[in-house]
Amino acid sequence: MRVTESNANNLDKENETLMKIEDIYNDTMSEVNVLEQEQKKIISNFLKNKEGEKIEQIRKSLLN
Amino acid sequence: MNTEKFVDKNEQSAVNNIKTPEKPWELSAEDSSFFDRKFKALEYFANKLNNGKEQSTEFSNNEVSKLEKRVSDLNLDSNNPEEINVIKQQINDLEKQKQGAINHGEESIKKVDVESSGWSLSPEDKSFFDRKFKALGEFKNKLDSNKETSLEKSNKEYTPFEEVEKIEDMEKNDSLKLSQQPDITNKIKPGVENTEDKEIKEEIKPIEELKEKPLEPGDEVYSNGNFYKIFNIHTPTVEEEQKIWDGDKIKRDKEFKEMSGRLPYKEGSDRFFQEGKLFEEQKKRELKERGPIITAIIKGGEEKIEIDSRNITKITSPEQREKIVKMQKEADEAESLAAKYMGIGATKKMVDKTTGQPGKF
Repeated sequence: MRVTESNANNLDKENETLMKIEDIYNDTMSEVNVLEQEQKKIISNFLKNKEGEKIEQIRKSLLN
Repeated sequence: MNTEKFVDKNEQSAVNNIKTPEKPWELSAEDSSFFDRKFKALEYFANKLNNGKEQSTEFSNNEVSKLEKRVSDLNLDSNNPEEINVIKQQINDLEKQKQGAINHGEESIKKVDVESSGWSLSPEDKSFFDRKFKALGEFKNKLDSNKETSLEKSNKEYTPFEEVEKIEDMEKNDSLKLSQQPDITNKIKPGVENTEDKEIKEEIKPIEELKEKPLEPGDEVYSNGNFYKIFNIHTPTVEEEQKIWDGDKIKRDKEFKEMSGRLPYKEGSDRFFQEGKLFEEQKKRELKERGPIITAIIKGGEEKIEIDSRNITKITSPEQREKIVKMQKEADEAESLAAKYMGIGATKKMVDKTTGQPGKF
Protein backbone atom coordinates (compact mmCIF):
# COMPACT_ATOMS: atom_id res chain seq x y z
CA MET A 1 0.00 0.00 0.00
CA ARG A 2 2.83 2.36 0.87
CA VAL A 3 4.38 1.59 -2.49
CA THR A 4 1.11 2.36 -4.30
CA GLU A 5 0.89 5.69 -2.47
CA SER A 6 4.43 6.54 -3.32
CA ASN A 7 3.85 5.51 -6.92
CA ALA A 8 0.67 7.56 -7.16
CA ASN A 9 2.35 10.52 -5.46
CA ASN A 10 5.22 10.34 -7.88
CA LEU A 11 2.84 10.18 -10.82
CA ASP A 12 0.96 13.20 -9.48
CA LYS A 13 4.22 15.07 -9.14
CA GLU A 14 5.23 13.97 -12.63
CA ASN A 15 2.01 15.39 -14.01
CA GLU A 16 2.44 18.57 -12.00
CA THR A 17 5.98 19.04 -13.33
CA LEU A 18 4.91 18.33 -16.91
CA MET A 19 2.17 20.92 -16.53
CA LYS A 20 4.63 23.47 -15.13
CA ILE A 21 7.04 22.87 -17.99
CA GLU A 22 4.28 23.07 -20.54
CA ASP A 23 3.02 26.33 -19.00
CA ILE A 24 6.50 27.85 -19.11
CA TYR A 25 6.92 26.79 -22.73
CA ASN A 26 3.51 28.11 -23.74
CA ASP A 27 4.02 31.43 -21.90
CA THR A 28 7.44 31.90 -23.50
CA MET A 29 6.18 31.11 -27.00
CA SER A 30 3.17 33.42 -26.52
CA GLU A 31 5.54 36.24 -25.62
CA VAL A 32 7.71 35.42 -28.67
CA ASN A 33 4.60 35.38 -30.91
CA VAL A 34 3.46 38.78 -29.62
CA LEU A 35 6.91 40.25 -30.37
CA GLU A 36 6.90 38.69 -33.85
CA GLN A 37 3.51 40.22 -34.55
CA GLU A 38 4.99 43.56 -33.46
CA GLN A 39 7.88 43.07 -35.90
CA LYS A 40 5.43 42.26 -38.72
CA LYS A 41 3.33 45.31 -37.86
CA ILE A 42 6.36 47.66 -38.00
CA ILE A 43 7.41 46.29 -41.41
CA SER A 44 3.85 46.29 -42.73
CA ASN A 45 3.30 49.95 -41.70
CA PHE A 46 6.63 50.99 -43.24
CA LEU A 47 5.82 49.23 -46.52
CA LYS A 48 2.33 50.75 -46.60
CA ASN A 49 3.91 54.21 -46.43
CA LYS A 50 6.43 53.29 -49.13
CA GLU A 51 3.66 51.88 -51.36
CA GLY A 52 1.74 55.14 -50.83
CA GLU A 53 4.83 57.04 -51.91
CA LYS A 54 5.08 54.81 -55.00
CA ILE A 55 1.43 55.43 -55.91
CA GLU A 56 2.01 59.16 -55.54
CA GLN A 57 5.14 58.84 -57.69
CA ILE A 58 3.18 57.03 -60.44
CA ARG A 59 0.28 59.49 -60.23
CA LYS A 60 2.65 62.43 -60.62
CA SER A 61 4.41 60.80 -63.59
CA LEU A 62 1.02 60.09 -65.24
CA LEU A 63 -0.05 63.73 -64.74
CA ASN A 64 3.15 64.94 -66.26
CA MET B 1 2.88 24.95 -31.62
CA ASN B 2 0.26 22.83 -29.97
CA THR B 3 1.71 20.86 -27.04
CA GLU B 4 -1.62 19.92 -25.56
CA LYS B 5 -1.58 16.41 -27.03
CA PHE B 6 1.84 15.71 -25.62
CA VAL B 7 0.75 16.28 -22.02
CA ASP B 8 -2.66 14.69 -22.47
CA LYS B 9 -1.02 11.55 -23.73
CA ASN B 10 1.16 11.31 -20.64
CA GLU B 11 -1.74 12.03 -18.35
CA GLN B 12 -3.89 9.43 -20.07
CA SER B 13 -1.11 6.91 -19.90
CA ALA B 14 -0.66 7.54 -16.16
CA VAL B 15 -4.37 6.96 -15.59
CA ASN B 16 -4.50 3.88 -17.80
CA ASN B 17 -1.49 2.31 -16.19
CA ILE B 18 -2.77 2.26 -12.63
CA LYS B 19 -2.35 -1.18 -11.18
CA THR B 20 -5.19 -3.49 -10.42
CA PRO B 21 -5.84 -3.93 -6.69
CA GLU B 22 -4.43 -7.46 -6.90
CA LYS B 23 -0.90 -6.21 -7.59
CA PRO B 24 -0.65 -2.68 -6.26
CA TRP B 25 3.07 -2.81 -5.55
CA GLU B 26 4.21 -3.43 -9.10
CA LEU B 27 5.67 -0.69 -11.25
CA SER B 28 4.66 -1.66 -14.76
CA ALA B 29 6.75 -1.16 -17.85
CA GLU B 30 4.31 1.60 -18.77
CA ASP B 31 4.79 3.41 -15.44
CA SER B 32 8.50 3.04 -15.72
CA SER B 33 8.24 4.38 -19.25
CA PHE B 34 6.20 7.29 -17.93
CA PHE B 35 8.98 8.20 -15.48
CA ASP B 36 11.40 8.10 -18.38
CA ARG B 37 9.12 10.29 -20.44
CA LYS B 38 9.16 12.93 -17.72
CA PHE B 39 12.88 13.31 -18.25
CA LYS B 40 12.27 13.28 -21.99
CA ALA B 41 9.65 15.99 -21.56
CA LEU B 42 12.18 18.25 -19.84
CA GLU B 43 14.60 17.65 -22.68
CA TYR B 44 11.83 17.99 -25.27
CA PHE B 45 10.67 21.45 -24.13
CA ALA B 46 14.22 22.67 -23.49
CA ASN B 47 15.16 21.65 -27.05
CA LYS B 48 12.04 23.24 -28.44
CA LEU B 49 12.93 26.53 -26.78
CA ASN B 50 16.50 26.27 -27.97
CA ASN B 51 15.25 25.70 -31.52
CA GLY B 52 12.92 28.64 -30.95
CA LYS B 53 15.97 30.90 -30.61
CA GLU B 54 17.24 29.97 -34.07
CA GLN B 55 13.75 30.13 -35.57
CA SER B 56 13.24 33.58 -34.07
CA THR B 57 16.49 34.96 -35.55
CA GLU B 58 15.59 33.34 -38.88
CA PHE B 59 12.15 34.96 -38.78
CA SER B 60 13.62 38.44 -38.09
CA ASN B 61 16.23 38.05 -40.83
CA ASN B 62 13.57 36.89 -43.32
CA GLU B 63 11.33 39.83 -42.47
CA VAL B 64 14.21 42.32 -42.97
CA SER B 65 15.16 40.62 -46.27
CA LYS B 66 11.55 40.79 -47.48
CA LEU B 67 11.43 44.45 -46.45
CA GLU B 68 14.61 45.29 -48.36
CA LYS B 69 13.45 43.40 -51.44
CA ARG B 70 10.03 45.02 -51.39
CA VAL B 71 11.52 48.51 -51.01
CA SER B 72 13.96 47.74 -53.81
CA ASP B 73 11.09 46.45 -56.02
CA LEU B 74 9.16 49.68 -55.40
CA ASN B 75 12.06 51.55 -57.03
CA LEU B 76 11.21 54.86 -55.43
CA ASP B 77 12.71 58.10 -56.75
CA SER B 78 13.63 59.31 -53.28
CA ASN B 79 15.11 56.42 -51.34
CA ASN B 80 16.42 57.26 -47.91
CA PRO B 81 18.51 54.31 -46.52
CA GLU B 82 18.32 55.82 -43.03
CA GLU B 83 14.58 55.08 -42.88
CA ILE B 84 15.19 51.36 -43.50
CA ASN B 85 18.01 51.38 -40.95
CA VAL B 86 15.59 52.73 -38.30
CA ILE B 87 13.14 49.92 -39.10
CA LYS B 88 15.96 47.37 -39.04
CA GLN B 89 17.01 48.66 -35.64
CA GLN B 90 13.43 48.32 -34.33
CA ILE B 91 13.25 44.73 -35.66
CA ASN B 92 16.61 43.99 -34.06
CA ASP B 93 15.47 45.38 -30.69
CA LEU B 94 12.39 43.19 -30.77
CA GLU B 95 14.53 40.23 -31.75
CA LYS B 96 16.65 40.84 -28.64
CA GLN B 97 13.48 40.87 -26.53
CA LYS B 98 12.42 37.53 -28.06
CA GLN B 99 15.83 36.00 -27.32
CA GLY B 100 15.55 37.34 -23.76
CA ALA B 101 12.10 35.76 -23.33
CA ILE B 102 13.35 32.40 -24.62
CA ASN B 103 16.42 32.51 -22.35
CA HIS B 104 14.15 33.25 -19.41
CA GLY B 105 11.92 30.30 -20.40
CA GLU B 106 14.95 28.01 -20.56
CA GLU B 107 16.09 29.14 -17.13
CA SER B 108 12.59 28.54 -15.71
CA ILE B 109 12.49 25.01 -17.15
CA LYS B 110 15.91 24.27 -15.64
CA LYS B 111 14.58 25.57 -12.31
CA VAL B 112 11.58 23.21 -12.48
CA ASP B 113 13.99 20.38 -13.25
CA VAL B 114 16.10 21.24 -10.19
CA GLU B 115 13.00 21.57 -8.00
CA SER B 116 11.68 18.23 -9.21
CA SER B 117 15.02 16.46 -8.74
CA GLY B 118 14.08 16.11 -5.06
CA TRP B 119 11.69 13.32 -5.94
CA SER B 120 13.03 12.01 -9.22
CA LEU B 121 14.95 8.76 -9.03
CA SER B 122 18.67 8.48 -9.58
CA PRO B 123 19.76 5.36 -11.55
CA GLU B 124 20.91 3.82 -8.23
CA ASP B 125 17.57 4.57 -6.55
CA LYS B 126 15.68 3.28 -9.55
CA SER B 127 17.64 0.04 -9.44
CA PHE B 128 16.92 -0.22 -5.70
CA PHE B 129 13.20 0.32 -6.23
CA ASP B 130 13.11 -2.14 -9.11
CA ARG B 131 14.62 -4.77 -6.83
CA LYS B 132 12.22 -3.82 -4.04
CA PHE B 133 9.16 -4.15 -6.29
CA LYS B 134 10.43 -7.48 -7.53
CA ALA B 135 10.96 -8.72 -3.97
CA LEU B 136 7.49 -7.55 -2.96
CA GLY B 137 6.02 -9.48 -5.88
CA GLU B 138 7.87 -12.62 -4.78
CA PHE B 139 6.70 -12.24 -1.17
CA LYS B 140 3.14 -11.79 -2.37
CA ASN B 141 3.37 -15.01 -4.37
CA LYS B 142 4.75 -16.75 -1.30
CA LEU B 143 1.88 -15.33 0.72
CA ASP B 144 -0.65 -16.52 -1.86
CA SER B 145 0.74 -20.05 -1.70
CA ASN B 146 0.57 -19.89 2.12
CA LYS B 147 -3.03 -18.80 1.81
CA GLU B 148 -3.86 -21.94 -0.14
CA THR B 149 -2.08 -24.28 2.25
CA SER B 150 -3.29 -22.50 5.41
CA LEU B 151 -6.84 -23.76 5.14
CA GLU B 152 -5.68 -27.28 4.33
CA LYS B 153 -3.43 -27.16 7.39
CA SER B 154 -6.27 -25.83 9.53
CA ASN B 155 -8.54 -28.61 8.27
CA LYS B 156 -5.93 -31.25 9.05
CA GLU B 157 -5.42 -29.91 12.54
CA TYR B 158 -9.02 -29.23 13.53
CA THR B 159 -11.45 -30.88 11.16
CA PRO B 160 -12.57 -34.14 12.81
CA PHE B 161 -16.31 -33.72 12.42
CA GLU B 162 -17.13 -36.16 15.21
CA GLU B 163 -15.29 -33.85 17.61
CA VAL B 164 -17.17 -30.80 16.37
CA GLU B 165 -20.47 -32.67 16.61
CA LYS B 166 -19.61 -33.72 20.16
CA ILE B 167 -18.99 -30.09 21.10
CA GLU B 168 -22.26 -29.05 19.47
CA ASP B 169 -24.15 -31.84 21.28
CA MET B 170 -22.60 -30.71 24.55
CA GLU B 171 -23.74 -27.18 23.89
CA LYS B 172 -27.24 -28.36 23.05
CA ASN B 173 -27.38 -30.40 26.23
CA ASP B 174 -26.16 -27.48 28.28
CA SER B 175 -28.80 -25.16 26.88
CA LEU B 176 -31.42 -27.90 27.40
CA LYS B 177 -30.35 -28.30 31.02
CA LEU B 178 -30.49 -24.54 31.48
CA SER B 179 -34.04 -24.39 30.08
CA GLN B 180 -35.06 -27.21 32.46
CA GLN B 181 -33.82 -25.26 35.48
CA PRO B 182 -36.62 -24.16 37.84
CA ASP B 183 -37.70 -20.54 37.52
CA ILE B 184 -36.08 -18.76 40.41
CA THR B 185 -37.17 -15.23 39.59
CA ASN B 186 -40.19 -15.41 41.90
CA LYS B 187 -38.05 -16.66 44.79
CA ILE B 188 -35.89 -13.52 44.85
CA LYS B 189 -36.91 -11.25 47.66
CA PRO B 190 -36.16 -7.51 47.55
CA GLY B 191 -33.02 -6.62 49.55
CA VAL B 192 -31.97 -10.24 49.85
CA GLU B 193 -29.12 -11.39 47.67
CA ASN B 194 -29.89 -14.59 45.87
CA THR B 195 -26.92 -16.94 46.02
CA GLU B 196 -27.83 -18.80 42.77
CA ASP B 197 -28.13 -15.47 40.92
CA LYS B 198 -24.73 -14.44 42.28
CA GLU B 199 -23.17 -17.66 40.98
CA ILE B 200 -24.72 -17.16 37.54
CA LYS B 201 -23.46 -13.57 37.43
CA GLU B 202 -19.95 -14.73 38.31
CA GLU B 203 -20.07 -17.33 35.54
CA ILE B 204 -21.35 -14.87 32.97
CA LYS B 205 -18.98 -12.02 33.88
CA PRO B 206 -15.79 -13.32 32.20
CA ILE B 207 -17.69 -14.08 28.96
CA GLU B 208 -19.09 -10.55 28.88
CA GLU B 209 -15.66 -9.14 29.50
CA LEU B 210 -14.30 -11.22 26.66
CA LYS B 211 -17.01 -10.02 24.30
CA GLU B 212 -16.49 -6.37 25.12
CA LYS B 213 -12.73 -6.52 24.93
CA PRO B 214 -11.56 -4.63 21.85
CA LEU B 215 -9.18 -6.12 19.33
CA GLU B 216 -5.55 -5.91 20.27
CA PRO B 217 -2.19 -7.16 18.98
CA GLY B 218 -1.81 -10.88 19.54
CA ASP B 219 -5.52 -11.63 19.04
CA GLU B 220 -6.46 -14.35 16.61
CA VAL B 221 -8.98 -13.34 13.96
CA TYR B 222 -10.68 -14.86 10.95
CA SER B 223 -11.02 -12.88 7.74
CA ASN B 224 -11.82 -13.91 4.17
CA GLY B 225 -11.10 -17.61 4.58
CA ASN B 226 -7.92 -17.23 6.63
CA PHE B 227 -6.86 -17.15 10.25
CA TYR B 228 -4.52 -14.34 11.26
CA LYS B 229 -2.69 -13.17 14.33
CA ILE B 230 -2.98 -9.42 14.76
CA PHE B 231 0.38 -7.72 14.74
CA ASN B 232 -0.61 -4.07 14.96
CA ILE B 233 -3.71 -1.86 15.01
CA HIS B 234 -3.29 1.70 13.92
CA THR B 235 -5.92 4.40 13.50
CA PRO B 236 -4.58 6.79 10.87
CA THR B 237 -4.15 10.42 11.88
CA VAL B 238 -5.76 13.19 9.85
CA GLU B 239 -2.42 13.74 8.07
CA GLU B 240 -2.05 10.04 7.31
CA GLU B 241 -5.65 9.89 6.04
CA GLN B 242 -4.84 12.82 3.79
CA LYS B 243 -1.71 11.06 2.54
CA ILE B 244 -3.70 7.92 1.71
CA TRP B 245 -6.34 10.11 0.07
CA ASP B 246 -3.74 11.94 -2.04
CA GLY B 247 -2.07 8.67 -2.93
CA ASP B 248 -5.34 7.20 -4.15
CA LYS B 249 -6.14 10.19 -6.39
CA ILE B 250 -5.10 8.62 -9.68
CA LYS B 251 -7.01 5.47 -8.80
CA ARG B 252 -10.10 7.57 -8.02
CA ASP B 253 -9.74 9.50 -11.26
CA LYS B 254 -9.52 6.22 -13.15
CA GLU B 255 -12.68 4.89 -11.47
CA PHE B 256 -14.48 8.10 -12.25
CA LYS B 257 -13.29 8.00 -15.83
CA GLU B 258 -14.55 4.42 -16.20
CA MET B 259 -17.88 5.49 -14.76
CA SER B 260 -18.37 8.74 -16.64
CA GLY B 261 -15.95 8.46 -19.54
CA ARG B 262 -14.12 11.62 -18.44
CA LEU B 263 -11.61 12.79 -15.91
CA PRO B 264 -13.09 14.79 -13.01
CA TYR B 265 -12.61 18.57 -12.85
CA LYS B 266 -10.54 18.73 -16.01
CA GLU B 267 -12.95 19.42 -18.79
CA GLY B 268 -16.30 19.85 -17.28
CA SER B 269 -19.51 21.67 -17.24
CA ASP B 270 -20.97 22.60 -13.82
CA ARG B 271 -22.97 19.40 -13.85
CA PHE B 272 -19.85 17.37 -14.53
CA PHE B 273 -17.99 19.20 -11.78
CA GLN B 274 -20.81 18.41 -9.33
CA GLU B 275 -20.74 14.74 -10.33
CA GLY B 276 -17.01 14.67 -9.68
CA LYS B 277 -17.55 16.28 -6.27
CA LEU B 278 -20.22 13.74 -5.28
CA PHE B 279 -17.95 10.92 -6.36
CA GLU B 280 -15.10 12.35 -4.27
CA GLU B 281 -17.38 12.65 -1.25
CA GLN B 282 -18.52 9.05 -1.65
CA LYS B 283 -14.89 7.89 -1.84
CA LYS B 284 -14.02 9.91 1.24
CA ARG B 285 -16.88 8.26 3.14
CA GLU B 286 -15.58 4.85 2.09
CA LEU B 287 -12.13 5.77 3.37
CA LYS B 288 -13.61 6.80 6.75
CA GLU B 289 -15.68 3.63 7.00
CA ARG B 290 -12.59 1.54 6.38
CA GLY B 291 -11.62 2.01 10.03
CA PRO B 292 -8.21 1.36 11.58
CA ILE B 293 -5.34 -0.15 9.65
CA ILE B 294 -4.88 -3.68 10.97
CA THR B 295 -1.60 -5.40 10.22
CA ALA B 296 -1.70 -9.14 10.71
CA ILE B 297 0.34 -12.28 10.14
CA ILE B 298 -1.35 -15.17 8.43
CA LYS B 299 -1.26 -18.39 10.42
CA GLY B 300 1.69 -20.44 9.27
CA GLY B 301 3.21 -17.46 7.43
CA GLU B 302 5.71 -14.80 8.33
CA GLU B 303 4.82 -11.76 6.29
CA LYS B 304 2.76 -8.93 7.73
CA ILE B 305 -0.18 -7.80 5.62
CA GLU B 306 -3.11 -5.43 6.04
CA ILE B 307 -6.56 -6.91 6.54
CA ASP B 308 -9.92 -5.21 6.20
CA SER B 309 -11.09 -4.21 9.68
CA ARG B 310 -14.75 -4.36 8.53
CA ASN B 311 -14.53 -8.06 7.79
CA ILE B 312 -13.01 -9.60 10.88
CA THR B 313 -14.25 -12.20 13.34
CA LYS B 314 -12.37 -12.37 16.60
CA ILE B 315 -11.58 -15.90 17.69
CA THR B 316 -12.50 -16.15 21.36
CA SER B 317 -12.39 -19.90 21.86
CA PRO B 318 -11.09 -23.09 20.24
CA GLU B 319 -14.73 -24.14 19.73
CA GLN B 320 -15.45 -21.04 17.73
CA ARG B 321 -12.40 -21.74 15.61
CA GLU B 322 -13.60 -25.31 15.01
CA LYS B 323 -16.98 -24.00 13.93
CA ILE B 324 -15.47 -21.54 11.49
CA VAL B 325 -13.25 -24.22 9.99
CA LYS B 326 -16.28 -26.47 9.60
CA MET B 327 -18.39 -23.70 8.07
CA GLN B 328 -15.59 -22.79 5.69
CA LYS B 329 -15.20 -26.38 4.59
CA GLU B 330 -18.94 -26.78 4.07
CA ALA B 331 -19.07 -23.53 2.10
CA ASP B 332 -16.19 -24.73 -0.09
CA GLU B 333 -17.86 -28.07 -0.67
CA ALA B 334 -21.18 -26.40 -1.46
CA GLU B 335 -19.47 -24.01 -3.86
CA SER B 336 -17.64 -26.83 -5.54
CA LEU B 337 -20.87 -28.83 -5.82
CA ALA B 338 -22.76 -25.83 -7.17
CA ALA B 339 -20.03 -25.17 -9.70
CA LYS B 340 -20.17 -28.80 -10.77
CA TYR B 341 -23.95 -28.74 -11.28
CA MET B 342 -23.86 -25.35 -12.92
CA GLY B 343 -21.27 -26.74 -15.28
CA ILE B 344 -23.44 -29.71 -16.14
CA GLY B 345 -26.46 -27.44 -16.59
CA ALA B 346 -24.58 -25.08 -18.85
CA THR B 347 -23.21 -27.97 -20.93
CA LYS B 348 -26.69 -29.47 -21.20
CA LYS B 349 -28.17 -26.16 -22.32
CA MET B 350 -25.42 -25.73 -24.87
CA VAL B 351 -25.93 -29.27 -26.26
CA ASP B 352 -29.72 -28.75 -26.37
CA LYS B 353 -29.27 -25.49 -28.18
CA THR B 354 -26.74 -26.86 -30.63
CA THR B 355 -28.53 -30.12 -31.44
CA GLY B 356 -32.03 -28.66 -31.17
CA GLN B 357 -32.99 -31.88 -29.40
CA PRO B 358 -33.74 -31.26 -25.73
CA GLY B 359 -32.85 -34.21 -23.56
CA LYS B 360 -30.24 -35.61 -25.92
CA PHE B 361 -27.36 -35.15 -23.64
